Parts: sequence; structure tokens; C-alpha cells
Amino acid sequence: MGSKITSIRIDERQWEQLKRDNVNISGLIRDLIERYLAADQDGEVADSIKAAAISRKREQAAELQDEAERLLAEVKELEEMKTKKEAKVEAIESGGRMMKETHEKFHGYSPKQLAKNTKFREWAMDNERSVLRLKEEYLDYRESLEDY
Amino acid sequence: MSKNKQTISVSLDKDIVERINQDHVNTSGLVNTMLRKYLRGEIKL
Repeated sequence: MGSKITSIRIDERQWEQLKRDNVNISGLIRDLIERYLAADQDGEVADSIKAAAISRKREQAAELQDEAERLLAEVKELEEMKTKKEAKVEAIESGGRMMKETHEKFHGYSPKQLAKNTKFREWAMDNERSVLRLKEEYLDYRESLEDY
Repeated sequence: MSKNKQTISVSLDKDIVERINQDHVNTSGLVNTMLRKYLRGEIKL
């Protein structure tokens, strides 16, 4: 009668308990398998083991299903997030033509320079805005563009 | 998720391995279940 080397993966908790108890694990496994085969003429043990395996597999499947649902929800969330390009276009659109032109004319000025700049003051008046208000609006707009 | 496992190589008679395979039982699964039962005192040798 030949023999075959079989690799068996044992749950670590059981492994440690058996080691602690100084049990010869290979010998115990052989004894348990022999007992399984000898005692199981009516298949009762096999059935209970099969039922336990089914139950474990069902639990694993449920865990994987939960994980898959979580990942799909994340994918959906990411898909719904605006791309940087879309967000920039939206910022430009919401700022309107006036902000776009303000940016074209004054993007090179620091916030401090803006209020002192004669052209900026004239631009504010041409657009019926106070200098301070236009400066605040424009800096908000500029910041939202720089964010993207 | 998956538990940590330790792998052990055990020499088993070929006909025993075949019999286990005939039962469509995963050997590691079978051994772990029996070890659990043994450690709980549900199987005496």
C-alpha cells in the first residue's frame, strides 16, 4: 500500500493549542482520519462535515458579497465625482464672463496689488462694483481655479 | 476575512486519500473540523 504526502492547512488557533498541549499533530491527524473512515459507515460524520463546510462557505460568500457591494459603492462614488477638468469648467461658468475677463486682465497681480491698481479700480467701476467687493469676488474665483 | 493557517505535510495511505476525495471532502477542511471537535472533547480517540 503506497502513501501520499498531503499538505494540510490548519487554523492557527488550533495549531497553537495543539503545540501547547505538546501533541504530535501528524499522528493525531492520521488517527482522526482513520476514525472518520472507520466510524463513518453510514456517512453521518461525512454529512455533518459537509454541512459544516457548506455553512462556512456560505459565511465566506456573504462576507465577499458585502465586500463586493462596498467596493461597487466606492466605484459609483468615484464615478460620480467630478473630474478636475469638469470642476474647472464649472468654476469658470459659474464665475461668468466678467470673472473670466477679470482673470485675463489681472491674474498676474497679487491680492495686495489689486486694490491699489488703477486699472483694477476702473474695471470695478466699469462693472458697477466696489473695488473691495470685486477684489473679494475675484480672489474667490481665482482660488477656485487654482484648486483645480 | 481569512484566518491565519499553518501548513503541515502528512503522509497518508493512498487509499485513504482516495476515499476522502470520493467523499468530495476537502482534506484540510475535514481535518480542521475534526481537530475542532477533538479539542472540544466531542471526539475521543
